[in-house]
Amino acid sequence: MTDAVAPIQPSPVADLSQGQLFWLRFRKHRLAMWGLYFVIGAFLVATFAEFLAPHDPNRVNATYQYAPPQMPRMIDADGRFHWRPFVYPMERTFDLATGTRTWALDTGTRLELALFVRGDPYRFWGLFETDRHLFGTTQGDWYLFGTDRLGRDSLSRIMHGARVSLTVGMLGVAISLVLGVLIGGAAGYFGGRVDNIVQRLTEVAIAIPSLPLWMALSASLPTWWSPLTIYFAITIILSVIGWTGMAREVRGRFLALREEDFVMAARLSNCSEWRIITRHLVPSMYSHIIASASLAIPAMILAETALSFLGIGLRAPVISWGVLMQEAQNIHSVALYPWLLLPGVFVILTVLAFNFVGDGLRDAADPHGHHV
Amino acid sequence: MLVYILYRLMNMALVLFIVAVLTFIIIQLPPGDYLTTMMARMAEGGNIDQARIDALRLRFGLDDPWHVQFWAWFTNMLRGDFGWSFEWGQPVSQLVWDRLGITLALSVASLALIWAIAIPVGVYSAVRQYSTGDYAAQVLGYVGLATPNFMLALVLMWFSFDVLGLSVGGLFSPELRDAPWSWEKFQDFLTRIWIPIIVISTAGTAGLIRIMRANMLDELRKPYVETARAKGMSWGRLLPRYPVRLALNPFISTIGWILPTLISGEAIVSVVLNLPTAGPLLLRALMSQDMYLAGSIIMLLSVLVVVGTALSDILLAWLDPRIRYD
Amino acid sequence: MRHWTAAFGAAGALFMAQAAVANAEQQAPALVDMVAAGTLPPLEERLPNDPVVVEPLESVGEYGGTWRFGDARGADEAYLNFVAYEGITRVTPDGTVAPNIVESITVNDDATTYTLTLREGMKWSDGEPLTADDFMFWYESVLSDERITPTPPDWIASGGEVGVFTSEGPMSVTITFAQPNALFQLQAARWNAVDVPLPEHYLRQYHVDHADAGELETRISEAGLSTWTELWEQRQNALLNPDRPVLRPWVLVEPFGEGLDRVAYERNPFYWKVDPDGKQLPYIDRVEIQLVQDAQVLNLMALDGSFDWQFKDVAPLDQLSMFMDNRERGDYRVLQVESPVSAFAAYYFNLSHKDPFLNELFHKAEFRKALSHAIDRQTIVDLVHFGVTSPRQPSPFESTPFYNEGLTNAAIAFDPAKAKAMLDALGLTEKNADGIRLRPDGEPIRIVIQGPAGRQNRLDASEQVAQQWTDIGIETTVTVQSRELHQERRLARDFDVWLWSAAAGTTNHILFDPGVYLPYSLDTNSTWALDYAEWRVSGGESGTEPTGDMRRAMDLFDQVLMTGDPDEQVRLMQQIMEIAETNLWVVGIAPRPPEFAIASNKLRNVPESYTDSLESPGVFHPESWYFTE
Repeated sequence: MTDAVAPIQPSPVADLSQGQLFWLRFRKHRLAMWGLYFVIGAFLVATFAEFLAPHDPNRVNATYQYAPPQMPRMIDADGRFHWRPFVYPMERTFDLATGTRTWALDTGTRLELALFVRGDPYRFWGLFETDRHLFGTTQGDWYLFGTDRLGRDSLSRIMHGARVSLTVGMLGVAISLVLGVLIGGAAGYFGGRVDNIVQRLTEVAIAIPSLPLWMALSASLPTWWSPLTIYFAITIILSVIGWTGMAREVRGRFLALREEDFVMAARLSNCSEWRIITRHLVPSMYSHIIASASLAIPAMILAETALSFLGIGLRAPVISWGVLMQEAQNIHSVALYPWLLLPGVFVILTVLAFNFVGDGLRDAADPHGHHV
Repeated sequence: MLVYILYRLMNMALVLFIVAVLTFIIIQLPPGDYLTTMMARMAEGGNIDQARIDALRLRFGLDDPWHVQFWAWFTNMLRGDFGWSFEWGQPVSQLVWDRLGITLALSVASLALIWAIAIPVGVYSAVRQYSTGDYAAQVLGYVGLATPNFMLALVLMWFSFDVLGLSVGGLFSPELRDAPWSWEKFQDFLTRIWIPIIVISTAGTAGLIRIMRANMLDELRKPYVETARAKGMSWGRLLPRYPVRLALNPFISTIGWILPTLISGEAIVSVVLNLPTAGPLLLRALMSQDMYLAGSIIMLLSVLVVVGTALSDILLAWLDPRIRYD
Repeated sequence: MRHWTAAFGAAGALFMAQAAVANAEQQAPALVDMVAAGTLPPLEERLPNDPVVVEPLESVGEYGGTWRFGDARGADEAYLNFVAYEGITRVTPDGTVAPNIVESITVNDDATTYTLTLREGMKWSDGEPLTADDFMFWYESVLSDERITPTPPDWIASGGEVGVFTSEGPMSVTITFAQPNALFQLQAARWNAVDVPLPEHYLRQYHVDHADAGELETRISEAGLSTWTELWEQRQNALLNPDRPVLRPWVLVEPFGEGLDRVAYERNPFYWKVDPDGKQLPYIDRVEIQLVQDAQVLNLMALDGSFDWQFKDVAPLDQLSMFMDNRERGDYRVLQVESPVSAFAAYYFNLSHKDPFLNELFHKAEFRKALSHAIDRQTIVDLVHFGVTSPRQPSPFESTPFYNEGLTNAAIAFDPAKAKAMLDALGLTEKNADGIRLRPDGEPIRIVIQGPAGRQNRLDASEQVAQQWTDIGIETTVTVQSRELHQERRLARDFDVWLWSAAAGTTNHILFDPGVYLPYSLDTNSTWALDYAEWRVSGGESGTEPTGDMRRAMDLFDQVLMTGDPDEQVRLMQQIMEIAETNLWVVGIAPRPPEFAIASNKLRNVPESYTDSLESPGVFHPESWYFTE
């Protein structure tokens, strides 16, 4: 699609397909393009987390708790320059009388950085066993983003957390999308009593402030459920609210569209209701649905973190951004171990990126329209 | 008009009834009841007082079927009796009113701040569309939207403590909380209240800037603006007269959706900052399965939203008669 | 005439004022004013004839001030219960037990009869005298009334039966047990026994057997309640009802829920303890408990100097430096509190397991020891406690007479090879492809450690333990449950290995509840042997009768209960510890590391370091704490 639209200047607009037009308009939104790059990057990290992460996210290190981030260096303690970046190993001492930990650099040893190093073994996508990681040190321990209370690598945990957090958003939106389109579509198309019932339902769903509702639902999840079950349950809980917005949007569009000539034409040519909905109405609003969905994803990602923070969302050993942030949600993290807040930075960036993409999509879908 | 108001009110009552049923079902979902919570707490203390547990189970009729419990709860609620909080050993109504008031006050204060920021920024963004300022305003608004409230609250709290040297936690410092209102007390109050208001507002500002900007753009494209500008009227004179006023109209309808957002934000921020509002009380009640308390808070928050929405609908219908037939 | 009265009145007031001045240093200034105004009787009438003299830790203090502390947990846990620690007996700062509310206790030779002598002239906080009626009311109308006490508390029971109260005159109460109960004075000093006696003159109006039926009915409906037991529950609870007279140094003035986020207490003008100079205690006017939703705010407030003495919920090891750094700003000092917990993570194998194979396996001491050898304790201690503690099993501390070196070090060497060999010797030699040992039916052996939410250190350590057990061929996983479910599963015997801590380190803890060393009660310590403990508690009516070593340990402790001779108690307890060493009933890792309290630099008479217990800081006489300028 991209290459097809590359030389745009002289080609008559009439030659471009709907999709191409859409893409053209989207590309004009610079923030949206940046957002798109970031989102793609985040999904790549989530997909190849085992390989990209330098460590096993669950491996503890009894001598490296709360280790600060270690930037690679190229100039050693004696002022000599080295072509290959390296870090120095660190040694911790703890003084019970003052509660302070001090880190001493062992400048006698240089731990050199390299690509495709051997590290913690893992099964890649459950397919084959390997111990290759994209980058790391050939020997010793190196933690770019520091470590948490058990000496686990923050960077690796953030990467693995992306997998859960992003899919919670996607899955939740997918569910609410299906619900929203079905219910909103039915309401908009049939109108009358169906519409009335759906209207009341959405009003109820909107009337209960979402966070208290999520809290109540999550608090009722049995604690003995496995992490995976909790994960799906939380996803469904998040989409319980999500569908109402989608349903409203779809209903509004349907109300407008069903009066259009092409629907009348389809009806006159004896199309079934089902066919009219699936073949004519839904396709004519794809772009709006996609735009709404991309705006709903960041809300779900944020909701996941909020539930985890309140202690009623996903729980360790699951690694999600919400879980990581919950572990860092305390004064001593801010005061003493600020690198533990890094997952929050990634949440902010991801949510921003999705919002920009969503805005871009909406602008592209509705170039002249005004949207609220 | 009267018919519309009546219709709106009846609708409201119906919605609230369904909310009550749903709420009750939800708070009944968790296995066990308040007494299992209590038992665990006693075990924490090293000793389970089976005596008290058995006594309480008998007392609260926790073994009745759920529809009996619901009907009792619902009908009592209509009479203003919200039931009994197991954990606090007090009638729910004694516990919630003060806290709900603070919740509402915080939400309204945040709404005011949001409007104070969103209206001028929205107007600016529309008038100077695609300028650096426009982009900056949008990005900043989004950053506010994207930052998890609880993290922002925590960081601001530490900032306030460590850098500004202010006290944190609660709405007043302990020395002044019982004192009558004075300038000193007001200052003390301000040093504490700014964090929650800012944090709660961050979530809603971006959305409103966007709406204001879109509305303004619509208005600015209209011929009368062109004419006025062509005749040499300055923006400063023109904007406040018509475009802003008209663009503000749909603003009223935003109350309906922004109120739930504010209340949700308020709940989470209050947990972090230890504010005596409905949010932390609800969380605690949910965790300890103090069901009447939890149910009543959800119910009352919903009433706030439903009434808020209905008011904004009626106001809107009054301002713009076309809406009624939508 | 009128003139005369006025003159006389003035003279009278002058006289009273002078008396008050003479008394000024003996009681708080606010009380002096009240006495002068005639709203309060003079001090001599308020104190007992022979008031209790409290020896302050440092010096005699001054009146005034508000003691502020925070509580992040919630309503029924606000620990004024422990702060105001006034039971029939009490644990003293040096760890012994002494009469408290009562003047003296005499015991007969076989420890079946205890005669309590009350203090002449002692008053409740409303000025009514404390008499034997208050004890008898509790016994006859509360303890013996199944409507409000379906299950009697265990501290008043011996051999499954509660003691019988009789009264010989207003100042004397006798408690008679069916079986010898040498530890009764200690049991009565536990924090959960402090609700006895009850103020009969106040509470009788809420008890259906004593109150006027019509009046009671009115009170119930006025309170918006439906039964008298509800009203009773609300009225008798000293933590919730400000009107309920107490014997504590401070009286509730702002109950939960009323002050939004605060609970407040004020001095009891009828408090019955004095300092060596005869000044009435407490020194501190008022106690305020700030209820905090989130532990983080509590920490910040503590750093800021918003609390005068705070122990719970502050300054664990990984935050300690933050508290040290802010000492000047918050004007506080950091005190070290030793923990009585000899195992911060203790693994209770279920010897009442419904699965016959696991039940038999868990009953084998060699199996428990093999798993103990598989734990790399030093690494775990480094990981979760920065290496400040040393490995040990749950056992009495070196400082107690019950200390037993063999038990403390039983099977604590990290030796996976030995652990594997021991498992092989038990016949668990068949393994599957993953190296997991198989049951006779060919299924891999899988056990689950059930842990409670909270106390992250304990869970972190258990994840390591599970890995190390899996490494020697016993597939182990950890599940984290809400505290509620965790307790329910325990009582239902529905677990393999139950995770908790084991106090069991100090003399009083061991004598209060020796459940780690023998099947004692259904409380947490005996979770490893619930069926056997049930047999003991029920007097043989239900549960399983223990045999062998378990039975021997149980019989030995029954002898402890029968002898009042401390040396004999030590000899018997040492035998129990030797049995525990051979059997290793409960496996632990290391003690809990020291915890920290913070105290305002202005607060005096506070212990600078101490060993924690459920009764602290009440043990250290907070009524004698005071603020300097």
